[in-house]
Amino acid sequence: MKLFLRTLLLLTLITPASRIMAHSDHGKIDEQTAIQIAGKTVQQMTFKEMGYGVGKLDASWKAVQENDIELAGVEGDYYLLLVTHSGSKKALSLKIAFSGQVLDATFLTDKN
Amino acid sequence: MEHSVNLSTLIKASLAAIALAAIALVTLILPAEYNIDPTGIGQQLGLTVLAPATDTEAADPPALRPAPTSNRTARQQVIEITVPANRGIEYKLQMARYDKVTYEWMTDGRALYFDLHGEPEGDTTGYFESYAVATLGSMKGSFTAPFKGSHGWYWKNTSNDPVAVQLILSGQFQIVGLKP
Repeated sequence: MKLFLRTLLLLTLITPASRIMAHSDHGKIDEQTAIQIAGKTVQQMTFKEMGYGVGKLDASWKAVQENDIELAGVEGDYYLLLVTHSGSKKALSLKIAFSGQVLDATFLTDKN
Repeated sequence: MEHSVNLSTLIKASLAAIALAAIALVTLILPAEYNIDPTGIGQQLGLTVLAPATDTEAADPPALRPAPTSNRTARQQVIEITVPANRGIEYKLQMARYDKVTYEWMTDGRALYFDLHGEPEGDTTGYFESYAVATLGSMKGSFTAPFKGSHGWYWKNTSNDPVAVQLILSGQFQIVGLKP
């Protein structure tokens, strides 16, 4: 009897209930979501200065597609994404926190 | 007074509980959380619409350019609109019942009064249902159409200068555009 109860208790404790409970996942975004956020952020930056210190992007950046965005790395608690725009020959680096918040944007070296 | 339960009763009760939990998992939880519906009951109960986009859908590369407005789409679209000084405009999407749209909009500076609402198709009474009403410079969210019809935003600019709005959409909809 005790063995049976202990087995049930053990099964209950190790069952990953959080995997099947609603609203269990408000944590880290995945890489694909980070790329989508980067794409959306570039579009927003063509509309107005978003406060990232690089100013408003010119309208040619509206042509940026998702395949122009690549994950350059994962550092600490953020993704580092590289957005390249063949038209302007410039590259924009975006830091996107695992929460989805855009932390920073920086122009990389001008490829001219 | 001591209560005692014999082992076979306890095992039967446990097995019954496990069986019920398994039924709930397969018929309710998996359809609602993961859109896995082997029995079809989840679809019948409307639970599958609650499931988030699948990995396959998420991996679908969204086009950042506006797509043809005649297609219902799950891709991202970027729209820029100007709300003239001292006027209001309405921008609408045609959606079927339970279609879902994720949106994010912002102005180029000034806050605007807005009413995000839906109007049932074919209704002639003037009825509309508001989903959000406020005065803001930006907003992000999503909604699921409670009925088939046109759904979208009314923005009102009470200032003497035009205000530009950028609207980013993804989900299931057909763009109607500016409503006269």
